[in-house]
Amino acid sequence: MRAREIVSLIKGKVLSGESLLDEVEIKRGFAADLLSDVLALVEVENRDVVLITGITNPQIVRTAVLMDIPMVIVARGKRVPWETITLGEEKGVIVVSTELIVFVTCGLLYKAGIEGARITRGP
Amino acid sequence: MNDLLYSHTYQIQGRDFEHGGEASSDIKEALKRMGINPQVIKRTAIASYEAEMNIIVYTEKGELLLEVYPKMIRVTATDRGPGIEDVELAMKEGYSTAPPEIREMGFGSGMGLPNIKKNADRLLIESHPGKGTKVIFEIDIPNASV
Ligand SMILES: Nc1ncnc2c1ncn2[C@@H]1O[C@H](COP(=O)(O)OP(=O)(O)OP(=O)(O)O)[C@@H](O)[C@H]1O
Ligand SMILES: [Mg+2]
Repeated sequence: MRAREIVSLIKGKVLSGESLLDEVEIKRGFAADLLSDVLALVEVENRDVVLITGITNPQIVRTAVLMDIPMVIVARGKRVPWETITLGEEKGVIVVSTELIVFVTCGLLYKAGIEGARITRGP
Repeated sequence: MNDLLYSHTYQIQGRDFEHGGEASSDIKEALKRMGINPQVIKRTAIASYEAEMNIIVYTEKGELLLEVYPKMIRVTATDRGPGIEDVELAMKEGYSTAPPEIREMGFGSGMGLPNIKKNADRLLIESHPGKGTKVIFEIDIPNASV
């Protein structure tokens, strides 16, 4: 599913990475508020994973970059700080905010065919 | 075997959450420029990020030293923070002393050190309470990937 379609599905507001919306194709998702869990568990093969989170600080972009995650959704209408938005722009990560809670965001994506991310076991 | 191909020291400022992770991003970029195997780069970057964030969360300042050799990458994270009382306990998945405000920022799941161990081929932690901590890890570069 195109990143742009995901944005409209969740009535999201694009904060950074606008120019990437038609080129990023999402197949899987992972929701977490603990970034070490993302680093420890998520397997990203083809830059096709979206991260759904309640965290707003720039570390969500850093984590995304390290993990080759192209898109981050900040749920529950949390205000995303300027530093996160500018870092997202600089690093080419799509950052989207939505008023929906994490549960509903994940539910909508799942219903639309986005699967859970593959989980790693060992290096 | 012992020829150092590249080395760089990154200074890390404690509590600087805004720039936290910058050093690890730079490490990732440096390794990419050297044409190293992407899987090796990712493992190094993840482990470096965990070590970097521990310096930021728990200490005033520290540094990351990146050394690239033909057959392996070594990262040494050094700080003069409070040290770790019981390293074995700190290595347990889920063990964390992070306060609630750190958890609200997305850290403190107690997965950092185990995650370094998982991604590295060798890990050594040397810590002296009250003096500081040194975390050294190495990741092997498979043949013909450099
Ligand atoms: N450089 C350090 N200086 C002092 N204490 C440290 C240092 N690194 C880790 N610790 C201690 O070891 C514990 C476990 O660290 P670890 O990185 O595994 O988890 P965490 O930082 O608590 O959470 P996470 O890394 O998942 O966000 C920490 O809570 C802290 O008490
Ligand atoms: Mg940690």
